Amino acid sequence: MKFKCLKNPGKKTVDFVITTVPWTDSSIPLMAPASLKPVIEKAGFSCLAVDINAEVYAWTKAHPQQKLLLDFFFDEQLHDETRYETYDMFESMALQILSFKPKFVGLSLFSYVCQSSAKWLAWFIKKLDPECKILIGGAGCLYTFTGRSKFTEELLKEGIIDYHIRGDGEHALYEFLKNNKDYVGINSLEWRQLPMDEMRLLPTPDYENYHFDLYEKQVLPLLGSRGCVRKCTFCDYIANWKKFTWRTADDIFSEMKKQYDTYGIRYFKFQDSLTNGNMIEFIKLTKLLSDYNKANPDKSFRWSGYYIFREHNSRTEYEWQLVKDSGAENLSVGIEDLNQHIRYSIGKKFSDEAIDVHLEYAYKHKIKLQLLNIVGYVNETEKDIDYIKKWLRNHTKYKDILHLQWGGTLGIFPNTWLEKNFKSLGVEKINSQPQGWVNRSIGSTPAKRSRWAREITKFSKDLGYRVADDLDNHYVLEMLINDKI
Amino acid sequence: MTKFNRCKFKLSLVFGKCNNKYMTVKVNNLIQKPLDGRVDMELDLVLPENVVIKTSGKNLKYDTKMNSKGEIIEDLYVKIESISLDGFPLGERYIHQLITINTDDGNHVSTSYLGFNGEVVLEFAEDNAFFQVLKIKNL
Repeated sequence: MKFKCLKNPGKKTVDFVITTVPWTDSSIPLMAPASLKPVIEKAGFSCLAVDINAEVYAWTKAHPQQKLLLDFFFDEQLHDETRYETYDMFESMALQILSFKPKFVGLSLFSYVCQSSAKWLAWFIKKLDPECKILIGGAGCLYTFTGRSKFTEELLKEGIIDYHIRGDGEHALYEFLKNNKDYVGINSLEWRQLPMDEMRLLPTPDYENYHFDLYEKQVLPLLGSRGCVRKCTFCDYIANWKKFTWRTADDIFSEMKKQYDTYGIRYFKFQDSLTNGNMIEFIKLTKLLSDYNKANPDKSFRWSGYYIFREHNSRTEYEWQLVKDSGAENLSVGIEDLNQHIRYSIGKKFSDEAIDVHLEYAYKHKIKLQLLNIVGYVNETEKDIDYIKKWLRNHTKYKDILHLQWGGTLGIFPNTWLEKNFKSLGVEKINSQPQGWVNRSIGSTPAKRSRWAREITKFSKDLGYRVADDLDNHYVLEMLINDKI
Repeated sequence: MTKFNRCKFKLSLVFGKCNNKYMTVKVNNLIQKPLDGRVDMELDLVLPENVVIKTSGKNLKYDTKMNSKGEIIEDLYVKIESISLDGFPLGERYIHQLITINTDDGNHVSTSYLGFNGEVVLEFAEDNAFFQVLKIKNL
């Protein structure tokens, strides 16, 4: 297997090769290498930033023994039928990366499913060039957001990798390259969230080395904020990105225009946990986009991303009009629970009436909504499940714009509000799994919650709603963008 | 296909004393001298290659002591604690279920607790650590 993105006929050399590693089920570019390329260059190093995952993704999807290959990425199972191809894939990756004679190789792990590939790619590289320094980073280095990473600790101990960069990587990587290797976030448990002023100075991601013909749809990822304005009790993301930081509308709009000018791509997927966290900037951005789209109907911008519902008010209609005119196509909304009292317990204080108002506007403007739900919150009972079914029966009008996701029942994750307070809520942990808890006072058990999730999934499918069987929210959003659902 | 057949073999052994002595252990004919009851050793292998662990010096009559209830209170043994190839651990299952000692008296015992005189042959038949580690993991 030869990688297009690593072709080097001119025997060019670079200081730093940074790449994604398989497996991420993504049909749009993964942005970490492109985001870090200008940071590396600012530190004075030449850089090749590529999305190897995209090529492996395309190759695997077209492979007659796709399932056997996926067994390797997910479970490190190497089947006889695919063992030489798998070996050849890693060997080619390593040889082609090293053809650029880099001093550093950075491996970006989007999720824990990337761990097998990162480990073996690092091994192949070290075998061929023990002097090459390997850095890894990304959320995939850990199974949960926080705590120690046994995976990286073992690789560091054995010298298979040299550095692990944790959390926001832009400043830590820059400091690393400036030889400040004691900077927080480099081989350390702690890391420093990028403050807003520094975040706003980040350069525009550079996709120069990406091969856009590999992707099913021409979409560019974009980051407008980090953190969240909500304090949902179950959320481990806010336990790590404690402050909500955002970029200005002008800055985001300018990036969109610049990327369009450079790559000719007009569809953007916001990677933020929410696009409308700061309503002032969000309104401003949607106005900028609306004005642009009206003035440029043949080259209008479109976008998808995460969105939060708020309590409705006199401006709601106007806001939805802007959302429509700005080019929004698919919005993922964390409803969490269709029972108002449970949403309030979670910290999502918008009413049932507000949901109805938002649905009506989305319906009017033909904007698709992916509703993200959690089944079996700590105070959820059979009666609440019945209410969800009733809600579903009463809202079938919206089934053409709705895509429902019921999740894998409530998990209690480290460092969340729920993890810190579960005892006072009457919840008892019964094993180390996030879903391993009971609330005896209301008879909530993992088995019962699992049954509820299955029942609701089937019930909503039977009513004609589209329901995600895949639990990865980003993946489902991408599938929606690609019109695959 | 480029050969990646050189690999670092790491072995950790824990020794149990009896009658104030340790078991004699040779790994690929190299005598292993325990320090504070353990050995952490490395070998450079060129795969495919076998690693042979030989245990000797145990007197089966005297080097296992029991109390009046028949419980072992002192035993001469060596236990395989961990094995890795190029830093990749071969895993608990391999250590505890897939290692066999061929004892000097002709028995074959599946165990990583080597309380017999005999020989363990760790067969690494693949020609690189990638195939070898994954083969063992998938056994």
